[in-house]
This record gives sequence, C-alpha cells and structure tokens, in this order.
Amino acid sequence: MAAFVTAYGIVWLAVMLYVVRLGTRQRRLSRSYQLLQCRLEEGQNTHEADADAA
Amino acid sequence: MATADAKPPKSGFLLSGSVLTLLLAAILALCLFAPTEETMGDAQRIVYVHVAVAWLGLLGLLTMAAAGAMYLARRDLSWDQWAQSAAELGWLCCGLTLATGSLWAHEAWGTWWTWDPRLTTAFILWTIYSGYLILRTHLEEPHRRARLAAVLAIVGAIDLPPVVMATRWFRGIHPMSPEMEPSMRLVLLLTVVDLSAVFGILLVRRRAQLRIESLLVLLEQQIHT
Repeated sequence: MAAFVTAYGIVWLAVMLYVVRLGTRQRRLSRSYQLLQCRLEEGQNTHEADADAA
Repeated sequence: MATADAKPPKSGFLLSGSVLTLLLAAILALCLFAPTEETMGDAQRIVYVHVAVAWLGLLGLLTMAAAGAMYLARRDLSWDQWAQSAAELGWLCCGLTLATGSLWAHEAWGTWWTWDPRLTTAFILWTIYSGYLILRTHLEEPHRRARLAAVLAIVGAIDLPPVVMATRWFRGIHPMSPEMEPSMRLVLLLTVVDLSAVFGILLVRRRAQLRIESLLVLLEQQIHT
C-alpha cells in the first residue's frame, strides 16, 4: 500500500508543480504584456504631443 | 495587430481545475474499479500509472521529433515551440516512469534498480530529453537553437524502437505484456486516455505560452527600434 500511495503521490505532486509553474509563467507574461502596453502608449502619447507642437 | 495576439489568456483556474479533475478521475477509477491483484496486492496498482506515463514519455519524444522535422522542412518557429513543450512534458513523464517503475521494481523484484534492457533504454531516453533541454538553454539565437534541437530530437528518436521492443529483442526481467483481467485492462485504458488528456491540455497550454513569449520579444524589439 505504501508503494502505491508513494507512486501516485509523486505523479500527483509532479503534475501539480508543473501546473503551478505554468501559472507563475502566465502571471509573469501578463505583467510583461502590461508593461509593454504602457510603454507603447507612452510612446504614442509622446509622438502625438510632438506632432501637435510641430 | 501584434499586441492583441500577445495578450495572455486568463484561464489558469480552468486549467488547474480540468487537470485536477482528470487526475482525480484516474485515481478513483483504479481505486474503485480495478480488482486487487493476488500476488502483489495494492502495489500492482502502480502499473496503471506507470504504463500511462511511460506511453506519454514515448509520445513526447515522437512529438518532439515530428515537430523538429517540420521545423527543418518549413523553418517556422511555431514547430519549435511545439517541440519544446513536448520535450518538457516528455522529460517529466519519462522521469515519472523511472520513479514509478523503481517503486514497482522494489515491490516485485526486491531492488530499486537493475540494468535490465527496458530500464536501460528508458534511462537513455531520459538522458536524451535532458540533453535536449540543456542544449536549448545554451543557445540564444532562435533559429540556430531550433535547428540544432530538431537534429538532436530526430537522432534521439532512434531510441524509440529499442525502448518499445526491449522486452522482445533482449532477455531481461521486465514483464513483456503481463496477463490482466478484463476489468484491469479497462482501468489501464481509462488511465492512459485520462493522462493523455492531461498531457494534451498541458502541451497546448505551454505551447501557447511559448508563442506569447516570442511575440513579446518581437514587440520589445519593435519598441527599441
């Protein structure tokens, strides 16, 4: 019984760790996306302000 | 537009939920429906998950080699993303095959490890996966990395026939195809299908992440230029 429980515990733990790792990467990607979007918008605003000034 | 394509999906809860449900279904099936084997008792139930992860370890290498070949034919990096996600999952499944097999071996043969042909070829498969993933981390340029990784994946696929046929080609102690009751076969089939679904979900999800990562890199380059 101990071997059976250990085997399934290992498989369960490994899959769950992989899912958690996927989630962590997903959050990191979302943050990078938001940062890039902010930078793009800032760039666009600067460009528009320059065009208005000109 | 590239920014819209790069937006990461927010379905982490759905992913965890579906994976958790499938894993629970597999464990319930083999606890409730699979009869207890007379000689080995409950330890025999390891076979269900061991066979399933072993199959997925082989499927990972097959996917990795096929995606590698597609990259070499088309020079499209999306195939390399499929290969990488298959390699990561294949490495995990191959490692789990060795771990669960070792636990089963200790119960059945009284030893954690022996250099049986099937075990040895499975261990070689795991080192191929490890080498592939290490190679990827040491190469920066995406196309060079994809090309070399594809070649290694195709060469690595040579190990597939020996792993599958090891019990027939060589004399060893690993069982060839153990006799099972119909209910045991059904549970085994269910577990294999169930864990294959988990593999498929994670493969698609990881590939989507890799695609978004590459799009974000492109966007960053566009901003800098």
